[in-house]
Amino acid sequence: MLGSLLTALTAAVERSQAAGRTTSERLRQLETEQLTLHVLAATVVFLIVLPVLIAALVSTKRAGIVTSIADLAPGGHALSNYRRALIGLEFWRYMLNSFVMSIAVVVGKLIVSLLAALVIVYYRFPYKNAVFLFILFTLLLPVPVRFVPLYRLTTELGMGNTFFAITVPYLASATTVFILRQHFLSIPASLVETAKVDGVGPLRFLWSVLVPMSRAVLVGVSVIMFVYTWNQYLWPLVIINAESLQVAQVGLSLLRGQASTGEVAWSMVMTGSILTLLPPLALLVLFRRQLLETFTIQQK
Amino acid sequence: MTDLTLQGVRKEFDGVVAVKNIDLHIPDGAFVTVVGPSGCGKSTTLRLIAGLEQATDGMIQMGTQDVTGVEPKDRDVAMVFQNYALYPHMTARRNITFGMKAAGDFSDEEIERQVAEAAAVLDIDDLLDRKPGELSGGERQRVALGRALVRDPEVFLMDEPLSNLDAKLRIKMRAELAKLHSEFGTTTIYVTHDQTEALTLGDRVVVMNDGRIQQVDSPQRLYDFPKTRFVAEFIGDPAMNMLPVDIARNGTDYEAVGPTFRITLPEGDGLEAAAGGQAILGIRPESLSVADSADRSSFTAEVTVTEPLGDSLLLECRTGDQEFKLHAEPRTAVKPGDQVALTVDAERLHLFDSQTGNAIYHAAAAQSLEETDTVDSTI
Amino acid sequence: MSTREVFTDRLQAGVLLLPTMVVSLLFLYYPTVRAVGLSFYRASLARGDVFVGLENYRRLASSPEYLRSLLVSVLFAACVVVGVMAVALCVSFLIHEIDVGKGVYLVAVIWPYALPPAVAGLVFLFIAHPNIGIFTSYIETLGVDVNWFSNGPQAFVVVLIAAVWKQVGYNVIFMTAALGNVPESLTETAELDGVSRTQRLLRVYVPIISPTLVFLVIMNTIYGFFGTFAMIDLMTKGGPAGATNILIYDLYRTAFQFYEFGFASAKSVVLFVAVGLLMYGQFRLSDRYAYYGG
Repeated sequence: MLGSLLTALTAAVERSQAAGRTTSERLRQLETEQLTLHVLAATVVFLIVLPVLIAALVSTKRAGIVTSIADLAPGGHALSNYRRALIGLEFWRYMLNSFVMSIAVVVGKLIVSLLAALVIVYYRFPYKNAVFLFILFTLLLPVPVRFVPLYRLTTELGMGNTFFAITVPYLASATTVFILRQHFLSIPASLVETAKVDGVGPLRFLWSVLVPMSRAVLVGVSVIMFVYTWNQYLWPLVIINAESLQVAQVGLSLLRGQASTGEVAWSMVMTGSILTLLPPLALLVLFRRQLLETFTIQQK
Repeated sequence: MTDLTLQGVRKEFDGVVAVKNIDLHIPDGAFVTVVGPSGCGKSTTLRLIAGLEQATDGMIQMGTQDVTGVEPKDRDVAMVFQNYALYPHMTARRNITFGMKAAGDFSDEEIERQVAEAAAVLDIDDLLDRKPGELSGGERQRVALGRALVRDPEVFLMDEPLSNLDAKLRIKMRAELAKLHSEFGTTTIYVTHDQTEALTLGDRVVVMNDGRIQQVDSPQRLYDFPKTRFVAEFIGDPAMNMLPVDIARNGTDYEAVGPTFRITLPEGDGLEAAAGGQAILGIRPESLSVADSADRSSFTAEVTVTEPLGDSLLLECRTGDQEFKLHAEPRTAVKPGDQVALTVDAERLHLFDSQTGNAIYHAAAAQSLEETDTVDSTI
Repeated sequence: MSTREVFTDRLQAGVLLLPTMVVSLLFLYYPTVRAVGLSFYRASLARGDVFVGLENYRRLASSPEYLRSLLVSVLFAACVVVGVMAVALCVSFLIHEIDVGKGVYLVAVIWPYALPPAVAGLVFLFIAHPNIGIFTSYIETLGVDVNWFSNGPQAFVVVLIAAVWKQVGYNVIFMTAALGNVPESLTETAELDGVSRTQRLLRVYVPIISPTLVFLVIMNTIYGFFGTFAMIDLMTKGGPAGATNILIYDLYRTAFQFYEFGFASAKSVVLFVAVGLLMYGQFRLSDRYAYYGG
């Protein structure tokens, strides 16, 4: 569907190029061109939003069986559905757990990575490059390649099925250290030299100079870390058994099971989905500027 | 305030020697400028004094105290940087006080008083509550100076502090820096690549090249009695002309003999030893002039380029295969291709060793070279 | 000449690095090393660990199921990479060419970056459901029998669409940024030369933004291998008949349905090596082909 975009685009351009060459015609041609582009872009946006739009509509209905477009009219059960999901099905608990996990990981990672980046940029010590490589290499060790032994390790430590298990293993972050390092390297060296001559210590320099100067990047990496943690599925699925400790993502999987056995309506599954989507989506929309800025740093 | 001594200071970075064996004494209250081309080690020297770099070898002394391994904050120095190094998120006032507060040995009232004083001196009272982003380049540099002033350090270290300013502002700030120094009298070391700044500001000028000190002298002596060919060519614009010559003895006189000219050298030390050999004759562009008629010490050359500068006419000339420049009177009627007769100011001639580049003779009646600066520096 | 490395206290440096180093060692490196060790054992929770040497790897090599899973994984990841990047490139170019309202379109297109994979899986499960899906009846009027709960290729395609949908936004973020950095003068030169839009995209922009594209190929490959776990778990459970049983899902089942930890560890090691080699290969390729300016 989207693949045909280019063809349509080129056709539109060629058609307008065939038009005359005078200034006013040229202007009109440009206007038509832009109009075509806007129509295409709106279509793309519609297609990308559509699945979630349907989910949102279904979450307002009672049964949530929509087998045709005519069934898509919003229902009047939004309030009762969300109340039922949050309270009746105890989705609030999963959400709360996800929040606590995500915020703990974001704050913890931020502190741990700030300290590491401070050392990597502003300290002189032997084997510094090796240490940096050691941190970067963890990029090759995502949860999926090590969750089996990690599971055994965590249970051996007696930390299986605990809050510890879904937070502490996430605290080391090559990505965050790397982004902060890149950002620090863009701050003039003379600032730290002044601080050094004035007798400003490293932690005070971090807190009073680096952190205030890195606000946008810190917000950006925080959103990235939050989205990453909030969306974790596999690890909580295997390490958390107690429903009272479970996170929203896995809560959704429980809902799905109940839906396929007919215990809950599909509209309830969509309600849960929308609930789970909202926090990271809200952060993305609110902090899009900082997020985009941070992504440009990451890629360097 | 204190004096400062560097003894055999050397600095290597990963096997590259940036500073080679420097000996330097800076008297209490002096304003010393350090000048040289980029990469000559002048900034590294300053950073060694600040304590931002650790010397590979040698000793640095402030007063009677050996500070070689001492942390920067315990050396009681303040540094001003080319890019001002102001914290962009802090107001000017907080920029000024941040380091003082970190040092912790000032009371709040003291800080308040010092800031007010420095602000008055630098004329930045009205700017204290603005952030660096809202200040012009000159204002930023004033704030940076204020930050250094309030620390009331033993030594000011300045690393090209005016280089980011435009030409007009630079000249104005230059005068203000000189005024500040005469007011406070704090020992100041000022690094620059700009020879005009170095000569106008410093009561002593240190010329560096290739990690070594070439000469330490007062500005005028540096200009009049360059110790090496490097100094002769680096100080002065356009640079001193360098013409390879033979030194010949003609009766009691000595002559510098080039392929197309023969210039009599006034009596002086060093000539006797040089006679019969080759040397480099150094003549500053303003020591040559266009003659009305040919006389004994003139020679002719062909003008290749004329550059009217307003107050003088810069001529590029060629004689034989040698090229040189000279400042002629403005409005002299010459054009490229003309042959001109030239006279030489015989009192302003220099000879340099062809191999080592060391000066062997200055025509001006001078003390012998060794006496120029034995107190402050040995090369 | 100037340096940021002004602090030299090694003890301080060590203390500040400690949290990152300890967590990396304990929860990242140690488990990886342990996976290698465990892969030489028959290990389960009930009975103890028994050293079996290369037995687990021998089993892997001779398991047609596993080889199928490997094939499915590679095919799936390749489709994800190509699909995501083709769509994202068109969308990014479209946004790049628009004069006013870029920002609005951008946010409206990149938001699936925040979309949890589990949500993506559930929403697609719902709208493409063989019995109750909203589009099912329309597609069936085209003569296609929607039965991806039992039809392997169909299941593969449905999961693939969901996976692409979720990942396009992330790619658009980087591509629009890269396109925005292409000097205006190049665009103008191309326009003066009468180069068509499509040609401008393919001949001018793509080579210039190729470093970004290489970066995205790597990120999308990792996503294709690992990031789609939740979707597969929620939509197909690896089925039907292994059609969507990518390595990570296969590994999960070995460990947490059959509790064969030794065998699962061997699979982890293979996965690690495979991804490592893949990334290495892509880096090498990018060195040779990507244009890094200069």
